Amino acid sequence: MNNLYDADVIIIGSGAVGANVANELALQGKSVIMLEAGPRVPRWKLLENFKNSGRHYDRNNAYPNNPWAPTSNQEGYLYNIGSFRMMPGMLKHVGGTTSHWGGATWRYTPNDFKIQSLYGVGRDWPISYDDLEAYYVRAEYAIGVAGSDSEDQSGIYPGKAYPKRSKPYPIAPEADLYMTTKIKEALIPAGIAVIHEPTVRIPKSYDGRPACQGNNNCDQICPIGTLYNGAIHAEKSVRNGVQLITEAVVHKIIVGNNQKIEAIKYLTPDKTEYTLKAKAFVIAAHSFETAKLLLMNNVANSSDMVGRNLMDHVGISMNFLAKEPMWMGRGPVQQATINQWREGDFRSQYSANKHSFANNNPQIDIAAKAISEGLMGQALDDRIMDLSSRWISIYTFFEQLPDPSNRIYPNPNWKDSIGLPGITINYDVDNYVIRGAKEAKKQYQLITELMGGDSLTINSAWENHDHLMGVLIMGDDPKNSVVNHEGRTFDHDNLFIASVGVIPASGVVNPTLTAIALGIRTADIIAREV
Amino acid sequence: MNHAHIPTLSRRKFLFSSTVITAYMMLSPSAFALNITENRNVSLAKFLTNKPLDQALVDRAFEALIKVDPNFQKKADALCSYIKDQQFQSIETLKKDAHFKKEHQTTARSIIAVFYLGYAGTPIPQAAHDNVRFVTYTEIETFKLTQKYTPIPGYSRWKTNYWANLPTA
Repeated sequence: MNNLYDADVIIIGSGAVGANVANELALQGKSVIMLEAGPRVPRWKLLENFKNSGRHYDRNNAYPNNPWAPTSNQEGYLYNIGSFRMMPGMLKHVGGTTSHWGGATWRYTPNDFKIQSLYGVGRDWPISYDDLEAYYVRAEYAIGVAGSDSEDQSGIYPGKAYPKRSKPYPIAPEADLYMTTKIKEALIPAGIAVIHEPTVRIPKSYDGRPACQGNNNCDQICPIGTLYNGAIHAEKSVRNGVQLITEAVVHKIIVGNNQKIEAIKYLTPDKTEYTLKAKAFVIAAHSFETAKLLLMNNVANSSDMVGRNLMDHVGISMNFLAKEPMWMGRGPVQQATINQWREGDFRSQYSANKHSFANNNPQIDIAAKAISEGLMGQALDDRIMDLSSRWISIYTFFEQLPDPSNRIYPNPNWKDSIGLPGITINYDVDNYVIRGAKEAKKQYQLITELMGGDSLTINSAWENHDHLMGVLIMGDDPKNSVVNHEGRTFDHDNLFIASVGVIPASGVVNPTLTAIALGIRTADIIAREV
Repeated sequence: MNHAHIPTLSRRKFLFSSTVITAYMMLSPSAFALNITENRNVSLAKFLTNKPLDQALVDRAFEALIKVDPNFQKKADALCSYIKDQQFQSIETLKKDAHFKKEHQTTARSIIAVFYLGYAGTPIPQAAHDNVRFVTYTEIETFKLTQKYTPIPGYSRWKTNYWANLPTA
């Protein structure tokens, strides 16, 4: 092959991570092509889709679900064979899955990076918190995070700001929900810290985004564009010179001399195939699709770890009735968390957790249940008003450990419209999490008692939380890892992965900020080389 | 559900000031007795929900219900005839009727659900397709009940940090 390149760097995927990598490279003067399997849909159109749908229980419904780029809800696309039905909310359009998300943007703590060294379980990262701290700052300022500079996010340093930061959050947090105030009044005196979740739902204008007005619709679509999503950086990167090619489904990776990646091939919806060449390649196409693409091409998999070690923050949840009106559904969909049990020596025995107080409007679910129970007339209205006013809901994340048998791989028994396979998922919740859930249930009882609540209902069936880590696992040993600390694949020195899929230890916090920070770090490395 | 140490919040406390129409309904429990002079479906829907309903919305609702179940109009007509024949004056008396058959209850629940949930049909979670038919979102009765306290998701009419305090009663 000759050395005529279509771009310095080709990035596959235009979600929050890929788009940030693209923008960083463009700002550093590199020519970049960004490929996206789905279409580019303006936000107003997505909003109209939402407003004119009866399927508000389906978070994916407002978004394009094309036969060549299906969402996770497309029947057959994801095929589960394990004991847990993993159904993440994958979207395929410019901006990716952060078009609907809670917007939580946590940092891992230093201990999260060395869980094996400290607790004898799981895997250490090949880098430390200190290695990533400056990139956390850059990520927070890039996407506009509102957070508290004074709170302990670990649960082990009460009264101290932790983890340490070299720069304050770009935006101060929004006011506490009325519900958060009441929760704090009940729990803090008992020694349970309730803290403010760092978030990209901002209480003042930042980088062209308006202040949050509490539409309580983050999990579907933010109607005013406050909530950060990947499309913001996808569009920004285009303004900075990135070529964005939509409806381009990458299906082939061409390996040349010295194991370097020479080109990729993509299909359009009519199955026309195109080839593109670059000096370096970044795959940021959702961790499932990234792993599938590598496996389809037998690329970057000398370790046999591609698609393995899948870790989600599988969780349980609970709800109870508060002793007084709280009115879930006022303001952002989430805010208060309990990180009391995020750190500690117990991590050698069972999973840590993070409890989050949901604030999604619960009224339709309450009404549906009441109607199904046969309530009518005044009794129905009274039930809706009473339960809606006092409903409290907590959902909990656990830390699944990496296990090669928890894996995804292409499913040839299901094909999309251009002939590409679906995804088979084998996922079982490990005993470390099961033991952690037992502890969490005791904590649920305690929280309910301290708040004077009643009618505690624990939802023990494992729940998806869409944090699909591990399938492109990072490490320092090419025998058991897909990428090194740079995000560079061990097998191909010009092929990089930018995804939550590289995270080797899941902790109990939402991983998107970490993936963006890693992506920015990877962009700096690539920029020095191409 | 155990409400032993929590007084049930009364409709009066929450809703008395919400709208003139609602206040009128509270004072007039038979406000939506079947009205034989108006459209049957409208009359039936008003009777079952005890709410003032717009004819166009009722038409949309029944269109959706019939798409989900082609026999629905027959079932609704049968329920309507039963209510008329037995001379029930309100949903409160109908629901206490010992002879309120299961099939009529199911029909009544389907009609009530359309207006309280905004759709007809049965949702299938985590699937791209089901038989759900859209009727309304902003006119959902559940949201009308709670409008003083919470925005319709996606339709906030308040400003940043409104959530710090509850509205005064």
